[in-house]
Amino acid sequence: MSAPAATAAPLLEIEDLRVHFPLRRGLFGRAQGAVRAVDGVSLSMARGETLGLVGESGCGKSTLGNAILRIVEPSGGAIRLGGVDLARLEGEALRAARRKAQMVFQDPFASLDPRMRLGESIGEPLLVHGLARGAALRAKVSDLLARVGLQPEHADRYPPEFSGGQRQRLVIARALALSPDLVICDEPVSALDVSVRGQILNLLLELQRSLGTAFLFISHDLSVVRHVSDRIAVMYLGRIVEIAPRDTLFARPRHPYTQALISAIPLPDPKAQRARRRIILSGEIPSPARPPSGCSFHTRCPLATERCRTEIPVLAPATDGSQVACHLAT
Amino acid sequence: MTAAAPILEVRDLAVAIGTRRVVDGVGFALAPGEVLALVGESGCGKSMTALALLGLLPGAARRVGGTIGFEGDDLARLPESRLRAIRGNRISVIFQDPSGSLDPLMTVGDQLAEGLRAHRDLDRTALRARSLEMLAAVGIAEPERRLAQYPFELSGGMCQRVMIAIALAAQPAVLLADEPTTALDVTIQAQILDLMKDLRRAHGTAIVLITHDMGVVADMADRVAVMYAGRIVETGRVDAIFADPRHPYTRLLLRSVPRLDDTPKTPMTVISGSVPGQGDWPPGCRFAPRCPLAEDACRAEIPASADLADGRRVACRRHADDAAWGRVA
Ligand SMILES: Nc1ncnc2c1ncn2[C@@H]1O[C@H](COP(=O)(O)OP(=O)(O)OP(=O)(O)O)[C@@H](O)[C@H]1O
Ligand code: SF4
Ligand SMILES: [Mg+2]
Repeated sequence: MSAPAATAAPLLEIEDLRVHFPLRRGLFGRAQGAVRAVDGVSLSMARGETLGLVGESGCGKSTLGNAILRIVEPSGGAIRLGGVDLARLEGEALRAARRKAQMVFQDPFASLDPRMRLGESIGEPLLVHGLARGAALRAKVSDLLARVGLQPEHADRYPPEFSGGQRQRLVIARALALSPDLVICDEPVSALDVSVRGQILNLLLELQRSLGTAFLFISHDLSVVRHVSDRIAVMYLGRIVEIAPRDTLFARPRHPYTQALISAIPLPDPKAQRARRRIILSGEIPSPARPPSGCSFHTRCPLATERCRTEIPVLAPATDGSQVACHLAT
Repeated sequence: MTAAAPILEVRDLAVAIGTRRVVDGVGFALAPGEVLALVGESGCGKSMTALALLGLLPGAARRVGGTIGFEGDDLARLPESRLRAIRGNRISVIFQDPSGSLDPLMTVGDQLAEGLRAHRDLDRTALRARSLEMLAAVGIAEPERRLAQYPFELSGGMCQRVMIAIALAAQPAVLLADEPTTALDVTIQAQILDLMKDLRRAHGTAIVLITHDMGVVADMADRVAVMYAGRIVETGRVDAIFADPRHPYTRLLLRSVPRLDDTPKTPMTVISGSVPGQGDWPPGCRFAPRCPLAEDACRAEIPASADLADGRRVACRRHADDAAWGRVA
């Protein structure tokens, strides 16, 4: 395992990040409250580390990833990438700083312009930032294609000729073009066929090793996240409820939500799955426009007490390197 | 082996879109109260198979062969009027996208009532009472309030519960469930799968569960049919299929999903290449271009299905070639 030295300065430091989307009635109506998509998230990532971000639909994973790159505007908080606060930058300075972080989205079909040759798509960021042209650009594109397991000849072809898995390789190649320090992958394998997912996960693992790039790996699939991450953060209704080293999280999940989430994954093993004791949560996931008072998980939590209904638990460090936001976690 | 006479028996089912056979010779039998999982990746023909059973094929797709034995009839030969009487009555369907299968312009209550009225003569009070009972049975809180609501006012999990309530209103003999939890979150999926188990226990409903998720199969199925490129390549009891898959595709599919007990950050088993486009099948064994065991004979003709001692059927020329088998994964 490539456990990065804990003493080195973090690559990414997020402090009390908030993204609130105003809720309006009608097109020009006044804001009536807000969707608290991200509601006070603090975390840090070391260079070369892969942090997994899991949670259920609508909990704010994508919004958090997008806010780091300022694809959506944060409502508050700080995002320091290599010591520079992205939340305070504008214009050219923002554009330059953003080069160090890239994004890979879920849908490889939507992410590539079908009318652009692959070579052009992949080389575009290099050209735009004035980093390579002519023969040097072609060489760099060939090198990127090889890195993601494609052939240099592919540079002259168009996206529609490629399968979903191959396109996701191309999207990854493009994200790597500017040698970023951080790549944010938002559900990078969710749209792919089961038999093709492994190919892309293996590629990402290989890139982690060979390039030392840090990855923020967003997924609702805990088994996938476990396979690629060094640490894992669990989100619920805009907040991180637990963050821990991978093996600690699975061996000893502390937050009741993490426990339920792990126990709800159906294991692909009939004997083990049927013998297993499961925590089946009751109730629905509340709307982030009207998060419950106190601990926002209290409406579904099997352990909730009176205190949970009134007092928001803060993310506090436990002895084993994990952090948990629960009044009752030990 | 199942002793009871099957409630549903499909033979040689074929569906074509133009000249492309998207389902090509699919057959299976479903015993009363049994859960059969139909597993495979996108485009393998799982959903087309389910839709063909009830004459619900979309647009250009046509059933071009096969028999569908159900309660003494061949559904493939029944006129639409008789099929309509069977749909939602003796055989119910639930689809992946719950919001898309509910009528957006009708309240939950009206949709439930419509389902109920189709099968039994009930007056308004009895209808309402039965509707409330059904919503409660599928775990919907505040059923009175929900009756008056429209689908867009409900979450995905709630819509799926309503769909299940409607599907089961008639206490059907067979439920066709096409990826019923794929669009849902895992904690909600756990609730819905549990609900389906309860209902099967209570009413003895047999279920054809279509899914691509091996975890869901392991959780729910008695028997499994694995589909690849329009055909069933292996069927058998769930334990046998997971413990000792005999088709290279089944084996690779099982090995290529990340598991909670594998070693993180190590290379995963992969299936090379990609899934062929729908109906655009390679010659011979359709898995041959991706199969580590393929030999010339595999590419020449479609392998026949062999019956194994444990009740399994496998369509692979080399299923018993133990010496070669170690190369699969
Ligand atoms: N541009 C926007 N305007 C208003 N609300 C938004 C916007 N983008 C996201 N939201 C809301 O913010 C919340 C968080 O959404 P987000 O997409 O970040 O969740 P997610 O965890 O990525 O979910 P999924 O697993 O479904 O991708 C949701 O309630 C969503 O509806
Ligand atoms: S703080 Fe209370 S409600 Fe929240 S997770 Fe802990 S026990 Fe449950
Ligand atoms: Mg998302």
